[in-house]
Amino acid sequence: MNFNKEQVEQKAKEIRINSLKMINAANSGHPGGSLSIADILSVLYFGEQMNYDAKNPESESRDVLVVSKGHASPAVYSALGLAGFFPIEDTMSFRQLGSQFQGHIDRCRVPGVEMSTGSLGHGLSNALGISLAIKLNEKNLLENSSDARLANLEKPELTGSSMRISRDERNAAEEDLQVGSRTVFAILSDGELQEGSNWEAIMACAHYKASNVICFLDRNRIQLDGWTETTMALHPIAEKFHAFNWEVIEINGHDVDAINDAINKAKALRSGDKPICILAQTIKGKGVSFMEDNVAWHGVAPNNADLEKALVELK
Amino acid sequence: MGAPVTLTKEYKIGDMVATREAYGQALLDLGAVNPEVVVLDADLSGSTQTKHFAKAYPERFFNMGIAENNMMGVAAGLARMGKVPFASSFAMFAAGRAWEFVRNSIAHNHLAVRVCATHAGLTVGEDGASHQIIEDVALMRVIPTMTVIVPADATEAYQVINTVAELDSPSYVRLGRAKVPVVFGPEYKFEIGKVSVIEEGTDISLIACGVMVWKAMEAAKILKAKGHSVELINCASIKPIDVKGIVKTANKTGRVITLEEHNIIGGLGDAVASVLMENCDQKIKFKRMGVEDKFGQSGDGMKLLEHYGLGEENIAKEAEKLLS
Repeated sequence: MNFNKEQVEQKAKEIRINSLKMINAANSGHPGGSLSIADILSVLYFGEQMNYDAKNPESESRDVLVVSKGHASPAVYSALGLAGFFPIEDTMSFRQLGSQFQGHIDRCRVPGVEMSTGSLGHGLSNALGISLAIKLNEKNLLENSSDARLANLEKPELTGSSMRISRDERNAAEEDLQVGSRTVFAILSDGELQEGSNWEAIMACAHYKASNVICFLDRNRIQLDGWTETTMALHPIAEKFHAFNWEVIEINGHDVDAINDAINKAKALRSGDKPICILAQTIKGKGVSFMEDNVAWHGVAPNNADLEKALVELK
Repeated sequence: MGAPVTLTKEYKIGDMVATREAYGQALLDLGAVNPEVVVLDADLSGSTQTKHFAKAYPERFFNMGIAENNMMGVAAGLARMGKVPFASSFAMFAAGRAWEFVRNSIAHNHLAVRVCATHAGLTVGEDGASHQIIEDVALMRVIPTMTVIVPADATEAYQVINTVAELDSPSYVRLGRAKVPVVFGPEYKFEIGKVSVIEEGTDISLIACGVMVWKAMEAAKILKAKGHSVELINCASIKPIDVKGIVKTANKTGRVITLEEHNIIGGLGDAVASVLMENCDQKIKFKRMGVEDKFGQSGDGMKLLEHYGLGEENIAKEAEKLLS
């Protein structure tokens, strides 16, 4: 994996800058939660962690990212624009009548958006469905393959050393067929864990051993009405995921090295049977001092003076 | 999409078969020809009849437990990757509990998930009002792009399932728990957006869907014995609705009664009323028959229909009022 830290940090900065410009131009949108996931998006799109083809967004071998917190649309559109799915300048029509860039991400209008979200509590369920479809396709691929190394795929009675050898051979064959290579990423906000449907999805991901699901939890600790812990307490989150039979990797969600390492670790865990949560400790409004940890910037647009101040800080 | 389905099941007129049974059979047949078909259920596969598919194709069946919102979200994800999902539960939970997931995860994402909901309406019977959804057609038909179908019997239900399998947009199929008489023979041909004229007549049109098609046929017998000429219309396709077919029969007879085991608000009756208001130049006498904006209760399904005014005797009585 070729990880260029400088480039990833630079792109994260560009995501932040473009997001704020979009929200300022629209005079409407969600800066806080866009800034808190900029580093995660940058590692995914520019840290060579996600397999995508901007010229062929529906490519059969791509990894899939479902952003459940659809209000972070400025950050998502900015990342996709920078990644070449469309000209980044187009995003300045954000939230205007007739624009392809809807207030909440819309898959039918923007190439690269995998699922339209916005109503919280949907994305992880969608990600599980995508994961199940990928696994079904991989199973079909294996069953229809004429590769001799897969001949004993249906012989679990093999034991001992012969099993070990056949397993190695099988793994090699699976790798050749690119089975197990596709990852389904999801990004959830912390506040949306208050939606009961997420716990249905968390339970179901574990039940279906969706180990190709890597779910980022953007733990920025703030929701529209205030701190999550005073609005509806979520702590302890890691323990909750553990109790639901997930692997949890806890990191600083603004340290691009840590994000990259966590994804590598999560991918290495894929051979297990647990879905993986990367619990990313983040700061709402990260990168702009007056927006950081400030609930006032959940869904308020920066005016021209605010934007100017913010851009000075970000550049 | 999939290869043509071989109908393995023919239902004989007069046989007592629940539409959910035809659904279970249709899934089984579809599964054999279309490897992309997947089925989801929420711990009710024994009741919805998805159990047959589950047994035959376990790797393509997903029991999501008692969690309908997640089930709809997962079905959307499967559809997003090109699968042909059928998601089933009781109509109360599929259309009621999970409405917002059907709306946002499925319909707003333009994904072809087939929501096939059983145990709809009063004829659920003994389980009572908590399970007798009389609001589902209203809830589903207001969702943009959603196709809404209420099959009358097993013959039609079987065809409806095969038809919606080919759609590239979301659909809702309302199915029943109770065994009801098969009213259509093998020559019957279901078509989305078309009514079927069961019998031509000149005095009054009875436009029905679901189990009420059979009840309308029974009521027509009573009316005919009294010398009235009844036009019997099956309107399974509630959305899209057959504007031409409805206007034609209304202009012909000048009298229309709609029949559904659903609240008179928001269902077939309102859909037909809208068509008549916007398209008929002449005066039409019109009556919606259904559940009159009240909750059901426990009891035998057929007795419940009678209790809520949907028995053939009462239908004939209301028809005579329009005829007088």
